[in-house]
Amino acid sequence: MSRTEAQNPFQYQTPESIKTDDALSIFVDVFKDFYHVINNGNTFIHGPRGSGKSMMFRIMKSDCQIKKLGIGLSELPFYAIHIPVKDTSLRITDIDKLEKNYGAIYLNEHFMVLYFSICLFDTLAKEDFSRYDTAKHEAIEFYKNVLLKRFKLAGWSEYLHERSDFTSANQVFEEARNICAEMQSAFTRNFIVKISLNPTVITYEGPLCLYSDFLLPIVKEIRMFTFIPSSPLYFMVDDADELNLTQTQILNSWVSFRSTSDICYKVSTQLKYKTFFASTGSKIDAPHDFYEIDLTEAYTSDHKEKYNRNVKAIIEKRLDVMGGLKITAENYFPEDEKQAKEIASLKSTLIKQQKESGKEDKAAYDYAYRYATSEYIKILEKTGEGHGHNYSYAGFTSLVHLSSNIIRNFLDLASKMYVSTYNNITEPVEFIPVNIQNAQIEEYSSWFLESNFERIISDQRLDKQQLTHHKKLYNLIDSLGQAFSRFFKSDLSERRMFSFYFEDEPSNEVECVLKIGVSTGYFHRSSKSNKTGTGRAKLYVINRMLAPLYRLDPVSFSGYLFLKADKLELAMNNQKEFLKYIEDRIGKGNKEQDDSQLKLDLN
Amino acid sequence: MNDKSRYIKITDLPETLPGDVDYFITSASYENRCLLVANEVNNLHPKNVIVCCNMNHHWYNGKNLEYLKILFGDSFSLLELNSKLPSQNNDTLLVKIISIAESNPEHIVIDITTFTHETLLILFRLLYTLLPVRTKVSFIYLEASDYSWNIDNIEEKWLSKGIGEIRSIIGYPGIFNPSRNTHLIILVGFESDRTIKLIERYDSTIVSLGLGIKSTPNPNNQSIMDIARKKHELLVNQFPHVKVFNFCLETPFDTKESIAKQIALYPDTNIVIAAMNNKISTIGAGMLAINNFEIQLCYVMAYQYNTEYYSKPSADCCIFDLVRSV
Repeated sequence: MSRTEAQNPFQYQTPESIKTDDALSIFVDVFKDFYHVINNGNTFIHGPRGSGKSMMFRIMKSDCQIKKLGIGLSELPFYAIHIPVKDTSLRITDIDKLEKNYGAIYLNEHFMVLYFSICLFDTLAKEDFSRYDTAKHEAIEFYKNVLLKRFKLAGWSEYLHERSDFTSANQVFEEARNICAEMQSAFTRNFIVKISLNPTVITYEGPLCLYSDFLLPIVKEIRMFTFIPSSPLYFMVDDADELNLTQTQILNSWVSFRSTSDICYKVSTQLKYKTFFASTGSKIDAPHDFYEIDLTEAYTSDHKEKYNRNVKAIIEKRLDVMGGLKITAENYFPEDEKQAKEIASLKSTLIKQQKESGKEDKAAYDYAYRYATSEYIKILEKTGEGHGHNYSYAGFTSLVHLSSNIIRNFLDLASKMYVSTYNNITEPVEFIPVNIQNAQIEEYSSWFLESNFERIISDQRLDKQQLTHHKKLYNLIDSLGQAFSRFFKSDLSERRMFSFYFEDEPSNEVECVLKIGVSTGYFHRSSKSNKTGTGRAKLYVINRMLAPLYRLDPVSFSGYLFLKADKLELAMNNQKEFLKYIEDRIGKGNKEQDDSQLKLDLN
Repeated sequence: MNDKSRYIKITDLPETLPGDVDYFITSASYENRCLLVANEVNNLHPKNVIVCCNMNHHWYNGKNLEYLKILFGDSFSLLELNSKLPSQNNDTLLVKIISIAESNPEHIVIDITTFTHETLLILFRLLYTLLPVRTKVSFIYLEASDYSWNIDNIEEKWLSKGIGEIRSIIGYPGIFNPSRNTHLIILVGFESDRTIKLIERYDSTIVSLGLGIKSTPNPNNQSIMDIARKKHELLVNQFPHVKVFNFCLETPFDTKESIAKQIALYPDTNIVIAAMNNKISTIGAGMLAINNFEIQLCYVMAYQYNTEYYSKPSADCCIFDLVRSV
């Protein structure tokens, strides 16, 4: 492919806007890892922005499923409706005034039902029913006997003009969509905009479409169509964190209906879902009401290989389809060969030294594997440009780890590398040079942290009352990064750490800061067994994109830093004292470490 | 420049404003710009002074709030707001504006310079909707001569960092028909980071980035214009799919027209506008949205604001009047 013909293979596209063939050509089947997403039943899928949730939903839509499986619409295993919840599509600030007032639930539900109904009818309106001779007749009967009745029952009869001129099933669904859109517009014009002009709550006298007497009965009837799969409809609610609290409770109520024979909810969140309580006051739980998947947790620990394998497949597909290159991901993102040879040579030296000191072969190899990189960085600090600045993070494996189980992080970084390479050469881009990889990694890693925070002067005494949660988050990240760096350059037997855990109950403020850290992608939350083996402790893994900032090795972390909750507070509020504590602890051989937890990772 | 707005020196303000001032409304901010218009208007002895202040940021607004309290003495009254509670702010402002309207004022002067974009748009809508038609409302905006003034390098200048909550502005809910594409329109200012994250968060198929322009070159803030242009270019390079258009920074009436033209290029879309440049253009966005309820105005909160070095005031201010369509 010539330079002008080739596209940037890593350029981000909104999943909703990707055409069928393009979506299928770049998609790697992750459903075998997450089969609950496509199987019947309600599923919550949690993961930060860029972890692939929307892309999964894109592939589940009928156009992709029909092409992928080579079958007709009515034979599909499910019929999926994408319901995107953007930041401000349903969570309208005006509606907040209704909170805790009589009618808040009904009015929010009406608003949601109209939104979901528009998505449903729009999806149907865009289908190809040409293979189904009875589609038009069935749709018209549905319109006359079900739809009009439901609109009238909801109180919309005044504006209804019964049509009889439909020439296709698609037109019927377009009409249904348009009626719902008119109701949505009327609700906004006649009620929502007036809320903020009245000091007290205003009365609502318009139509009301609720789940149990509008949406659910309509779905039941739609399922009877012969041209629609007989399996339940999947409502794919994308970014459900963006619902307000009442709307979240309403959605939970719908999930709790257990009407999975008619509708299965596939709900994606960015780990900020507000509550699992329903508007009825009861709580929905896994696995009784839904199955739950955390995309990042699924790819941590023992399942890392799945993520590595999927990223490799995704990259190689994109390079082939969009870049016209048949090349392995490893060759496209080569590592620094000189550094690799030097580390290999250092490993050999360490193995020899260990054997000479009486260690068995396996122990000697294990030692070399665990410590070669940290020893190498220590050497670079002494002999290189200082502070390990010339340690290279280039290479596909390293990039995969830096992306921290979020595919979009990898694609974003790779896209920048591609553009930089393209601008530096006159030939087509056939691989990304090591120096460009390193430059972009440094820049991206720095931007990743600094774009959200102002750098706090490290020796400044921090005033607790003046600090916002976000400044405390910055302090925490920076304190931990420097702590892990000190461990990594120490002579301790366990020096490779990138996560911390605690067992005691943290303060509300610590909880809040950690929650922000998770939702902004700086931490991944997981759990591990506690010291006594009687339960689980909360484990937080730092985003590996921060590794270059603190000169850490992003590959294969096996240690966890145990911290009491008060030390987390110290890390947030007084970095100097926290690092002093860490240095003392290193000096004492990390005595507060949980000795029962180490797991050897031989990647 | 439109004859509905004019630029004068701040020191000429007292002579320019006609007649008595029944109400002067302003915002106490960490920016010292909030004091200069107040100083001049004080020479007109306004009968009532309403100072809005986000009390949740009192620790950095408090000093200027205290100054204004002393400056206006007995005519001073405080309207406590909270930047995290827009619904409550709306109600607080609503009650106040209703009470002002009932007193049938002749002339209200508002310093819009240091209000947050969100509070300004809420206030604008209430004034537009509730005040008697005969009430003259004069808006004043004091220009800045520099932003992030402790840093010379254009690319390092910052006004805010990070992106917190994105929310629709109360009173401008818009209509989000999920069967339509969304057209995100950003009146780009200084804050590239917030703009980038807004584009990424909305993931819209159509994004229009507006570049603020001035028809009258002003050597006092040419550097600011150059900075803004440079930042706009960087954004367009980063997002090659975006559409670009120009909008006026000197008169809200022209801003309104520019945005309307851009909207007309992509009909049948959900429209979301984020006004992130000066307050004059923000009012322009408000003027358009107030009569088109399908347009949503959104507000982007930042994690941090450059409270110490945000801006330096210039000597120039813009005055324009509230014009209500029949």
